[in-house]
Amino acid sequence: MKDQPSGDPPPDDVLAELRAFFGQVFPGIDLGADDDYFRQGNADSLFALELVTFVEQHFRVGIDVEDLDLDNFRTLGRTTAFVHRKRAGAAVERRPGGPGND
Amino acid sequence: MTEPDGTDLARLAAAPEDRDALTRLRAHADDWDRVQRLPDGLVRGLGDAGLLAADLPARHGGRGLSASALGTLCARLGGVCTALRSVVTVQGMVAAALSRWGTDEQRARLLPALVRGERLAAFAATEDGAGTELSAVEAELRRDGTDLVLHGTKRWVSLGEIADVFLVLARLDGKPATVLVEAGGAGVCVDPVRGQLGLRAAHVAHVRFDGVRLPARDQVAPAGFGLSHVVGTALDHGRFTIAWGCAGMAGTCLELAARHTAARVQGGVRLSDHQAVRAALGRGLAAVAAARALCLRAAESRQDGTPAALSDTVVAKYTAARTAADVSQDAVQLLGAAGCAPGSAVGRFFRDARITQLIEGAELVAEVRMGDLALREHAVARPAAGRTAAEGAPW
Ligand SMILES: Cc1cc2nc3c(=O)[nH]c(=O)nc-3n(C[C@H](O)[C@H](O)[C@H](O)COP(=O)(O)OP(=O)(O)OC[C@H]3O[C@@H](n4cnc5c(N)ncnc54)[C@H](O)[C@@H]3O)c2cc1C
Repeated sequence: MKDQPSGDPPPDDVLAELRAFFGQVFPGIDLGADDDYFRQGNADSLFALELVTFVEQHFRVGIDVEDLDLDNFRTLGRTTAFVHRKRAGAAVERRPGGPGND
Repeated sequence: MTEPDGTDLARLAAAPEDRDALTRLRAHADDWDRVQRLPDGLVRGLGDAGLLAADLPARHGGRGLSASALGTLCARLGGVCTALRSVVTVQGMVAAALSRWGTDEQRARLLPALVRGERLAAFAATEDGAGTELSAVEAELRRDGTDLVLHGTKRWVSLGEIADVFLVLARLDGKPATVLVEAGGAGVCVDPVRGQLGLRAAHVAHVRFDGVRLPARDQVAPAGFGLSHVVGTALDHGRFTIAWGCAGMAGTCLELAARHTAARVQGGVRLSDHQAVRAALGRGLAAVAAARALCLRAAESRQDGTPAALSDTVVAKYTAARTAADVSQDAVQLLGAAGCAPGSAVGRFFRDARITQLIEGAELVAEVRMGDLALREHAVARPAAGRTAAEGAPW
């Protein structure tokens, strides 16, 4: 994955960029936008932090403790929506049941 | 027990080539290993010298040291004493986890105090039934009104004997969760370990938490993220500083072996005049250079903030720990009985190096992980791991 040279506008096609990253991390596994990769058991132990680092660096959004909700990250589609919300500056929603519910 | 002149730590922080400070500190370190403790006030001295959590940004009290500058510091400390370097490693692990995933209140309460060495942190994850596989931890948090109550026993906590606060991995509602626990509170019982193979001055302890009551504000990150994110961040940082510490330790062993073999004469022949001896030194030279290069590569990817930073750090730690073990073993061989004598620095490094091959990711486990990376790199599907990110061991 080529990282954005600083100064360039962040990529607009968030879903495609995320899919390319996943393609690199999970080669040979074709993920749909709504597939739950945590539940499928594809994600290994370093992956959670690799994803955080990728999203922060590539899309230039900050991920904070308030954003730690698996529902923000469990599918390509949800992660894409999270990036869009963050970029729009909107507070990311948290479910009443609390983050991290599985 | 000899006490280092506080200025030696400051000189070490400022000038890597300060031989006198290094030699004096190394002599102290042999002593600390023998009596199995660090001198009182050393943590404060490290804080005063600006050596603790120095990579934290200024807004959290740190000096904003770059990854490579932090690494260089850890290499210098690692070349003196693994227990001393462990203080920097563990304080840095807890500081990194809080800086990354703590609340503003938690950061303000703890980070500046960790930087100054006013408070010492320890990291308590391992249990009897959960070492490599940390998802198996059984320590449990129960809710009681707005409080949390912690029950569980942690093993092998570096600096556990003298820490002021623990970052503890437990379960809450069945999910991995992390909390900050004050030492000295009701229900915290610390049982020092002595006589272990290495890291003898690192104040290792087993720590029991017997119904310890905590305010909810002492939970770090939501349940479900304690292992994958909080402990993951701490271990990643720990691997990085250990990697550099191991490169420094290997460098010192090579230096001591070169000095010894160049000075010792038997039957009119210097040890270093034997080709076999020079070949052993040559292997060490190449291995140390390779370990340093991998540490530097990890520092660069950390500075760039790329996702590769995590796996580059695993590779650096694996290689540097192995190098420290190999070069210290050769050094013990080349020094002969002098390497086995009580108070031998290479003997101490040999014992310490063996332990670095186990902590923060056992060697075999790192190899499996690196195998996954090879498959990734060559775009080959690997079997699904069959576990979730929140459950997998963080290395
Ligand atoms: C001096 C010292 C200081 C320590 N400090 C701390 C600390 O500050 N905080 C803390 O929480 N812990 C600490 N530890 C604990 C340390 O992290 C654990 O010892 C380490 O994680 C290994 O766990 P274990 O000892 O239970 O070994 P096990 O998990 O039983 O593993 C033993 C061996 O089995 C093999 N193995 C295990 N699992 C796998 C696998 N999945 N694949 C392939 N091979 C495998 C490996 O060869 C491994 O070395 C410390 C330990 C020591 C000795």
